[in-house]
Amino acid sequence: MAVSEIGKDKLLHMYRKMGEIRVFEETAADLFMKGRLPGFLHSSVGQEASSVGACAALRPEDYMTSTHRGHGDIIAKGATLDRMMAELFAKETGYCKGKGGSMHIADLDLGILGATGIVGAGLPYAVGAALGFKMKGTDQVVLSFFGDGGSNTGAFHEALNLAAVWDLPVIFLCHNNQYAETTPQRVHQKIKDVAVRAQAHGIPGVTVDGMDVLAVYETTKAAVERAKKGEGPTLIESKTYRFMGHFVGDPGVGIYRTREEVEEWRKRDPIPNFRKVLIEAGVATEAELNQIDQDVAKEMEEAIRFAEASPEPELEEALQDIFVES
Amino acid sequence: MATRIDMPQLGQTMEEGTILRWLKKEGDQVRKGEPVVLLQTEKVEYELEAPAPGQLAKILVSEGTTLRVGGAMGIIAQEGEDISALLASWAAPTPAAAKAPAPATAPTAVQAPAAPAAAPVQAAVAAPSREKVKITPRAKRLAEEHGIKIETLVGTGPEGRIVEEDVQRAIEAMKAGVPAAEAVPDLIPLTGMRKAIFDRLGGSWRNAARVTLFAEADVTRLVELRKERGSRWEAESGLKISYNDLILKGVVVALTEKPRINCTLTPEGIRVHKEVHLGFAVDLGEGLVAPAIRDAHKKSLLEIAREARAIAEKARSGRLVPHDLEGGTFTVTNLGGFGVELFTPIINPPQAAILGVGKIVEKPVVLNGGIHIRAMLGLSLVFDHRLIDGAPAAQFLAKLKELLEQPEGWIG
Amino acid sequence: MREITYREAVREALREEMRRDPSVFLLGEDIAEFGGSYKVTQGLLDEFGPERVRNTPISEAAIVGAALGAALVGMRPVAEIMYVDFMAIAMDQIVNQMAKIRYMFGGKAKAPAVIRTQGGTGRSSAAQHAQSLEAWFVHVPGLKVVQPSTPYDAKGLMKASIRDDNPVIFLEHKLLYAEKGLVPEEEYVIPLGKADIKRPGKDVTVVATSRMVLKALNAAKDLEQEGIDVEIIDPRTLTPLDEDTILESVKKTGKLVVVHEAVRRCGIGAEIAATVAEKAFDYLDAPVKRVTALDTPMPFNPKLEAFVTPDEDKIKRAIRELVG
Repeated sequence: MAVSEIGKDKLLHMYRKMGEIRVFEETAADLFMKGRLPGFLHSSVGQEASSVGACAALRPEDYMTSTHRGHGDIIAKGATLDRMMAELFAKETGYCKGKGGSMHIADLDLGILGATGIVGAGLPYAVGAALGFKMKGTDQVVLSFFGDGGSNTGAFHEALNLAAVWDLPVIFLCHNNQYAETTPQRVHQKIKDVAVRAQAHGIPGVTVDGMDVLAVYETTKAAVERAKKGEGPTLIESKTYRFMGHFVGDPGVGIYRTREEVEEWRKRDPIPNFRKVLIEAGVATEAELNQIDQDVAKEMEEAIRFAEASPEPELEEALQDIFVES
Repeated sequence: MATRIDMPQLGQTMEEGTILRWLKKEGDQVRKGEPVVLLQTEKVEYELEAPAPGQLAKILVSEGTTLRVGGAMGIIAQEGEDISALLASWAAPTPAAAKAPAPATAPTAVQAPAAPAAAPVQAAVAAPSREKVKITPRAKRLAEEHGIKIETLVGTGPEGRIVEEDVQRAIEAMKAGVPAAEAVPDLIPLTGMRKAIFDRLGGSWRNAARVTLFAEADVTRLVELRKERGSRWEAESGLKISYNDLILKGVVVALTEKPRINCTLTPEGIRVHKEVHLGFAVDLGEGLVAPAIRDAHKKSLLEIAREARAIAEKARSGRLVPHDLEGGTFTVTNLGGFGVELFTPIINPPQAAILGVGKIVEKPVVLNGGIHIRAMLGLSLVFDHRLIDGAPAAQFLAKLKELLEQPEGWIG
Repeated sequence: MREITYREAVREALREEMRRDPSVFLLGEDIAEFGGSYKVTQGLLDEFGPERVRNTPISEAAIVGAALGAALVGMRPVAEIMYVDFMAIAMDQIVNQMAKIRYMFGGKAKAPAVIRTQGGTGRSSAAQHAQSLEAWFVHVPGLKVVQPSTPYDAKGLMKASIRDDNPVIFLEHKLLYAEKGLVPEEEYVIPLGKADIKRPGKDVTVVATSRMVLKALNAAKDLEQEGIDVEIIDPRTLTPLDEDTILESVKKTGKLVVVHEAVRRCGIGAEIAATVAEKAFDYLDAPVKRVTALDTPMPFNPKLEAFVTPDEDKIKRAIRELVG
């Protein structure tokens, strides 16, 4: 898809979102390593194009589900850094009132049906949400993010099959970041492309360069159109890479992958590449993009201030939200 | 360092003891002085305290087992400590077994025929079992609400558990103004305390050459004095001084003045005591004991009264220690409270005599040629003629009668 | 009042709620044309069509996931899992997703889904088709757990479950489907969390669940001849558990027997016994007794099956031991 067809606002929005994710993830990792954040943290640095390209193809009313490595997907769908960071700080102002944490951020108002910490578990209920939309007769679609690791679960196959037989408006988007936690793809599955698994369920399967935000966007947009028309689900495999370890604290190099491999992928870093595309295509100037970078940095600083200044939830909060009180 | 927990010598003549209950489990931490095992000797239940701090590393002898004094029951060790050496020593003969005395020289030989396993103590029998009364929470709550002592109830529930119905019956009875039916079990096994009573009193009956002397004391003045001084005594001691207290004190004075019958049988011969350790019988419902008031000859009426109550309470709550039951030189037993006027009690060996005290009864008495109503007290002195002749026994009884009839001089 | 079967009662509740609320729909294996393995949904396809009576692949995780997702976007699905034993396959969706989603998302989501299933010993259904797994679900905060014993309760509780805004695990019993009972024709709903005293009595409290309520009632009838007056309480919902009704009864009788078809270890009986011990200890006049299946997988052999499963005689024996 030509850059000109997308429009400057959208392109700069994508650039900004990718920047937000990068800064957020790096800041969170830094805070975590300083012992400022409870729990644990899975960084999605390197996967920004995959998250942003996919979510850019969704409308606000469309839904998505994500994974334990979900910050990027969630920011891409519209979550703001302040409430994201407040959740990481386990504060009352966080998206989940400090009760979900890094792995479970959700906001139904933004169409974020939540991240789940169980690998592969988001797919079945994403299918359910798509079923709900279909039955209600809206043209909303649901996009379910998961990873190459998740594509080996039973839930993945059950979900794809059910969505296929019912022609549900759902897009299964696999961030194939090459590793199921620390296990390389060549070890955890015989196939090279997760997309081929679509064939088993009689739905289209597409592999796309996950380091190219526009390619992901274009592919997802087509899948969304297909879903809206009632033609059913699509499996998109977005080949990407996790620059950091499985969790913050995992060095990410040495044990299960080489520094050379990481360096090789870093050369394909989606953010500078996209920046170059935007400048070369004349969409934006260096100065404009620098301004966005500065805005994002400022947003991040404010988010930290917000999170730090926010109160912790009251103890009473532990007993709330277990059930809907009638 | 690991320490053995051995069967202790609880009282001079104890030879063996039974492990009733381990109060700690293997692996439990114990502080020095913390109770670890509940023992039963013939006389008492005894909570043995940990001889050293550490971990109860090994229980060597299970509950219900009877073991000679000095036998190893368990081992206290530091965590991770090797106790194999100690375990090996347990397999060897216990010190108690090794030093088992030859009959000819053993200090316990005298008692052997009567009660081989029994100790020559002043107590007739052991203290009551402190086994928890089995009662349901509901029954317990109800009993507490109505002020009913659960010890007085008989459980009809499973395993003899006191259940609500049993308490209800007691409440009904209380409301109707009649005492609850007496709690009497159907079968009383000849074990433990009962066995001890059985053996010891049987032995006393078979061995002692009993003679009983009867006397009747005119205690009218004593009754008056008690009325006159009762409030003063109460103010001083907080106690209502009973006739029994007065009689105990009188007996102590009489024994001091006529000490020949204050004697016990020992392997060396008949030991006549200068000290009066006055035994008195305490009814425990099922079973009885005769703890002693030590050095009663040094104690005032009020001191004797106070101590008698304290010891009786200790006996009823099962907290007697062997010391309380040993060393008595003479025993008083009082059935006056039950309306008994005269009776012949059984001597508590190795003591030589026992005084039975009856009820004070107002009787017409000829005095100075006229008939007067006097308060009369029946006394019976049972003594072992092998140890005491008739004359000193009679002298003692006469002295006691005199003291009780003219109390002003000694009553205080 | 008319009599209908337990099966018909559940079906009536589904039908009435589907008529009342277009967001209510059914999904599950073989539930459409075939009417479900135990024929509960028979005939509903004809009235509501394949959109609302959806046959699914044999994919328990996807069935529960689909119900959950649809509930999250405003539908009121009722999913059927053919046997409670098969819930094991969907456990992640039930336990980690459905039960937790509201809480971990800070109260933003609600998941008004009902998962219907049936359990209990059948006639030699053996180890994978005859379990009573209610305690699994009771152990998970965020799930309501319903276990009706009569047609009347089944209908009223199903309607309440569908209308409830929370995930509900609705546990039917395969041997209750043919049981008949009085069910009024007019509309009624039984609130979740309210126990029912199936038989008032004064001597002993029996808390029984599901089919064991019937067994306990039979036992009580026999014991009446012996002068033992048994009170039988059916909690009906295990989460939330109506503790008050149970405690009140125990305070009255002082004795408690809990009867359930599930195995003993960590069963609902343990929870009820513990609750009574904590909150009505001073009223207990005897140790609490449990009459449950033995801690074994369910054997196939009919004689062995009967041996491990609680029945009237076992209930009577337990009561006599307490009261006799």
